[in-house]
Amino acid sequence: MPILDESVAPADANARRLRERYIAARFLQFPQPAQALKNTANVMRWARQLMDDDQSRQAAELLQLALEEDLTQQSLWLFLIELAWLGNDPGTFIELSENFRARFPRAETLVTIDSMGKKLLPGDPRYAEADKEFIVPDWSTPESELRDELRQQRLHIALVEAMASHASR
Amino acid sequence: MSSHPPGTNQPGLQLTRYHSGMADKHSALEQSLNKANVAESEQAVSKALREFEEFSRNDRERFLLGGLAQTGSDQAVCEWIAARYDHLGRISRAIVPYEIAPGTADKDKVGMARTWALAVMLTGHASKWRKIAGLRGDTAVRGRLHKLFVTAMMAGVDATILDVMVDRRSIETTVEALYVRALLLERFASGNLPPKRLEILDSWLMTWMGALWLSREPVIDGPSLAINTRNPTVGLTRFVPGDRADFFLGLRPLRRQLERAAADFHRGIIFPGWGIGLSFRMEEHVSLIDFLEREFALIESSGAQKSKRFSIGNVSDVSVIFGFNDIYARALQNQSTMGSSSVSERGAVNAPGDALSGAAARRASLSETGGFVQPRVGRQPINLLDISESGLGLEMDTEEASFVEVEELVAVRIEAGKPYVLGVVVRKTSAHQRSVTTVGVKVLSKVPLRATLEMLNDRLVRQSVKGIFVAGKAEHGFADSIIVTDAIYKTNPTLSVMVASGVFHLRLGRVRQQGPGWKMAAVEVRVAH
Repeated sequence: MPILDESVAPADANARRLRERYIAARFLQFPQPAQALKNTANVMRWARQLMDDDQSRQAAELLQLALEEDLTQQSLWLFLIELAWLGNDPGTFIELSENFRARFPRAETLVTIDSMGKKLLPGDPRYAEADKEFIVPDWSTPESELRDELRQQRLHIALVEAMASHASR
Repeated sequence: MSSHPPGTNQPGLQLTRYHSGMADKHSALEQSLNKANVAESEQAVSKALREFEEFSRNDRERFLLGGLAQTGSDQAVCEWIAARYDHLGRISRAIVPYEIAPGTADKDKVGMARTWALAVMLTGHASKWRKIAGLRGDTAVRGRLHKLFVTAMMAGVDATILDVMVDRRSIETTVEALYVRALLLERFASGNLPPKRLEILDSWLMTWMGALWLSREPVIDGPSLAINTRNPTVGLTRFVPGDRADFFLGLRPLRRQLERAAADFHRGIIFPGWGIGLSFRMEEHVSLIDFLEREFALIESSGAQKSKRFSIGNVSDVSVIFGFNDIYARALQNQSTMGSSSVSERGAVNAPGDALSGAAARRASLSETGGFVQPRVGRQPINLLDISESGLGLEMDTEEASFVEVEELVAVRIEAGKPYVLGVVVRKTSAHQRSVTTVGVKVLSKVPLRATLEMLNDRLVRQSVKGIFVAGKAEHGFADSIIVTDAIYKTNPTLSVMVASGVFHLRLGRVRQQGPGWKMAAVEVRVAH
């Protein structure tokens, strides 16, 4: 994944239009990307759904596009950091976590990020002081009100049941 | 044959006397070449190629932009383009020396290297245009490419840096990179890659030349593709330890190139910024990114293989229905979310609340249909050609196929009495027999479920909504989807539905797939009881 760069989102009107056409085509649910990508909760929700579809690269790209629009969306940074950690990608993890540290030096999550860094890169002096023990975060899952595993599973079971009754005809 | 020169504003494409003149010119060139003078011959063929590309640029562009609405005359021009590239390819291969005498000066070696590069490039061009024209693949092409590459390597010119011209653009490359480009085109074009995307892919590969290099040892830090140059029937295949292979192409450099292409789109630049593909819709570029991501993922996943396609020996008639509304009303009449016991949904209440009045249902139907989804009677017979886990091929009359759009929903019943399979049309090709069109279908669900949902809002008469459930494979249920019309999706509704014996309130999430008038959205369950 390319490293985030604030200068990516173009100012030129034509380039801006092309970028938005690209986003709308690549992420079908974003007809007005400029606004949609600044809605952190929605971006989280869509990125999570991409993960559900085993499209973690596309999820990372969506988060990246959203951050290119507004770099202050802290939870999107954390989502990306978790993705890099889960994907066992030390290079991207370091780039993202250092970038995050520079932008949000007082963030409480830095403690967890350092522990994750220690686990991913045990010999790296950057994380030498970090705790070994930590609770694996779940920054890639939006708040539970919007997403309930039990409810979702109940619908799935009901669908499978209905499908089975037709398939056995 | 018309007398219009190409590039004039005549409707459609036509073979003219200028086209036949170009073919004659190539035949004359073939006769007149002094093959003993390699450098001079190479320059003459390169010049002929540049002239041909200038001459045919308009035809190529118009054919590709014309999409699926093509006439027989358009097709004839496309086949002519493929034949010209093929002919120039044959001429170029005839001037390749295939070996270089020891002691040949470096300057002369570079001149000779150009003949290999030209031959490999033209073999790739010809192969691409055969596919664009829907012609049967040339089975000898891989063997030819292997021979050209191996002999270039033995002559020590495979890695010589050269410039080649592609559509007025000078590209720095090597014989090796051109060889990899041709094999990648062969590999990726064998799937569902329509002509426009194949053209875009080629301009990407031409821009990625620096990343198209082979190693002699298997790549250790990631998945790779492999080549066995001794096997003329096989090109680039996913490497599995133990396979016979003598060259390897790592996937990581290709992934990085793909990410850079995406980064250009983030900046508002159409990658690579040149070529016929520049004028294509953004959706074509994005579909290619999606396609390559899928292909790379397939190569990366160790066990996964493309599902095997079984051809149907005796052509088999199947029942086929196109379009959301017709599928909902006719194909899925007996495939409801209530299970097979509820044969008819008439009068059934699928959700809590009042039963829908006939008027409300009719209003709902009208508001959902919009201007997009036209009811259409499935015309018979349509034949099933082949079938796999993920797709099937249908054969139908070309005139009737002209009413079918790519990305249209299709329901196919393969066996009487069995459930309809739901799919989406991914390609249409009219090959060998012009009166017949092959329609490629990607399967969305083997047992789609018809659902009558109810829109939860403040109105007294609740609006009924037509939906088709497509259950995902994952047990967590977050991969489940529902297909609704565009009009319904846009209202961002909360919907109520009864599935089996449960009642659920749903929201529509990310659009996973869409077509004319319909969207397949992720399902988010808000209430389950």
